[in-house]
Amino acid sequence: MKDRAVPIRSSSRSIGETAEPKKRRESGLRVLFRNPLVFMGSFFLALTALAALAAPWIAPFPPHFMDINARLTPPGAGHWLGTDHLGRDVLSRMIYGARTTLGVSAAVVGLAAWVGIPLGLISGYFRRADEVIMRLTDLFMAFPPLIGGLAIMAFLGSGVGNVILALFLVAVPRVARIARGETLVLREATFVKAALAMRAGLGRIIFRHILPNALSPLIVYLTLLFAGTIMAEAGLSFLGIGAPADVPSWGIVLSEGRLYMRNAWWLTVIPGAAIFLAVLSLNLLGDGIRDVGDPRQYGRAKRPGRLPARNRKG
Amino acid sequence: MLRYLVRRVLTLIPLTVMMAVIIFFLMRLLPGDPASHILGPEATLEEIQALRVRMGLDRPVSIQLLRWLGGLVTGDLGDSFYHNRPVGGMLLEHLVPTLKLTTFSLVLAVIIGTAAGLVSAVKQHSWIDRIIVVLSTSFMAVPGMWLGLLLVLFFGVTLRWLPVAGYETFRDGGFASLKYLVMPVLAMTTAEIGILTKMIRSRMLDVLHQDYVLTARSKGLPYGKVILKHAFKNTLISVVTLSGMMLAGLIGGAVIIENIFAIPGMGRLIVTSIARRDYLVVQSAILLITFVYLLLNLLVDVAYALLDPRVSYGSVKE
Repeated sequence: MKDRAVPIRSSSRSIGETAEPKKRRESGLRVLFRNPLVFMGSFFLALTALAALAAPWIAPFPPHFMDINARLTPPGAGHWLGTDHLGRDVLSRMIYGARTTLGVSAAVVGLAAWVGIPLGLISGYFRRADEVIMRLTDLFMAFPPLIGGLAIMAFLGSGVGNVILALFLVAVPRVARIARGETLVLREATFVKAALAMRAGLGRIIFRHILPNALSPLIVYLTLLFAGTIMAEAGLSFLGIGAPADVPSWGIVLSEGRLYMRNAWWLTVIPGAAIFLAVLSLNLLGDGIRDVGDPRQYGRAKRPGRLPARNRKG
Repeated sequence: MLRYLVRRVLTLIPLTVMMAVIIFFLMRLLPGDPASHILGPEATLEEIQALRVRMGLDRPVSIQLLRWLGGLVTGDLGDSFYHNRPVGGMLLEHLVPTLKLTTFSLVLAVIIGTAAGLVSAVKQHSWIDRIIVVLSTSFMAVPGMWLGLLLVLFFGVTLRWLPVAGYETFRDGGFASLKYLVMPVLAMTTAEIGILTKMIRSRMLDVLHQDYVLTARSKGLPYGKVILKHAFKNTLISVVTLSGMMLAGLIGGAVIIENIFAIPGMGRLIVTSIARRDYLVVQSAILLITFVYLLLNLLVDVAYALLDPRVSYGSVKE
């Protein structure tokens, strides 16, 4: 299906390219950040990540510090985002929570890429390994993602390391799948055949010819995986089977605030909004990278109304 | 076609057995042994030993595994430690609410997502397209649990229009029982609506730019007819595939949503049983929900094969 669509689009793209040859020389990153949504998303993510890293210095209170006299204080001067039922400062808990939530997700995505991409490359390149690896991923992917994580957590018990392990096991086969799919297409590409004809070594073909070309879709997928992992981590914490209750995490703040929802809206609104914004930012970033990495998309955006529409008869 | 169906059903069996084995060994990951885990640190050795015998943990692992696999066939999955009743019956009771939630959410997502995606693609670059794109992108990022809580806060607590939580079977409550499902379904389906809208929009745009649509339009067919008969019909098939993908999200979402709204479904059963260390229930429930997921996926694939004449049924000739 893919190759059928390509020639049509690429021919129409060349028209756009000759019209504006200057654009192609711009660096991908620049093009990426010119999109205001991507820029805002990245800005939010960078800010959150920085806050998480600098938590001990910028958080106004320690995450477990209880001020019993100031229980359920609404957002205001003393506590910017209010306090919870134990008088803990919500802003500080959110900042420390970002450490857990983003840290766990980063670890999961990093590990999944580290293991999944090589697996996918091997699987896509060597027919014999493919059978074994793909049957294994089939097996793991037979579990719906959250259920798989839940099953592992149920038997491992709660703990930050266990969450990472559980979500890693959920993510790895999916990353491997994507890497394999890209490899399968690329190994048939003319430049790979040419490299083979020039007796390029296996390592050179895989790392110099296949991997760089597979990277763009993989990065897009990993970005979306990051978003999905944030949701999953928050979901597991919310259910009380993720990070242990004494580790602040966005999911935990949300689930603890649930009981006080009637009187303390901020305990529900704030952690949820943080998850929402993080996931939204990552999705926007992923879309942005896809658009930059896939030049076909430029062409499409630039020629509105190729379809003879009703109101464009002239 | 029949052969395809039989083959697909047959591959389900080894897959299920493998999953049962995986879940079985996962349970063995528990530090120590399940019996001492269930009873906690205060239990005496005699009590632990008695429970071990009751759960069959005193037998060799191979026998335990065979008993668990045999139980899947006969339906005798042992007794719940906490409720003291057969696991099989409990599972069936809890399956219905989850299936109800998932089905309603899927149907709603398909209706709204397809319609919105269609409109958005046909009116590309118009203000309505922009609104739909912004909404679907935001919807995709909404955590179901958060939306659920916000809905409770707004419609349940402030406006008092809908019950805050709870569940009624259709037999007890009739159509009034549906009021318990409104907020859970909305909370579960919003993200899926966003995803589906986006996907349908992009598929529809792809189709609209195909040559045969251009041809149909150039030979003078009416605009609406081209959109509906030539373009939309070809997009419709991907709705089926996407439904399969959405099932994974919906089943996962149901676990969380059931816990917010106290709906006695599989997700709630799994989570409460984890807390009660009722491991026999946990392992059977996880296996069952995964099996249902595979079964629904199979249905999707069959529907796909029925709808798309290009799909080969994997016959030997090819």
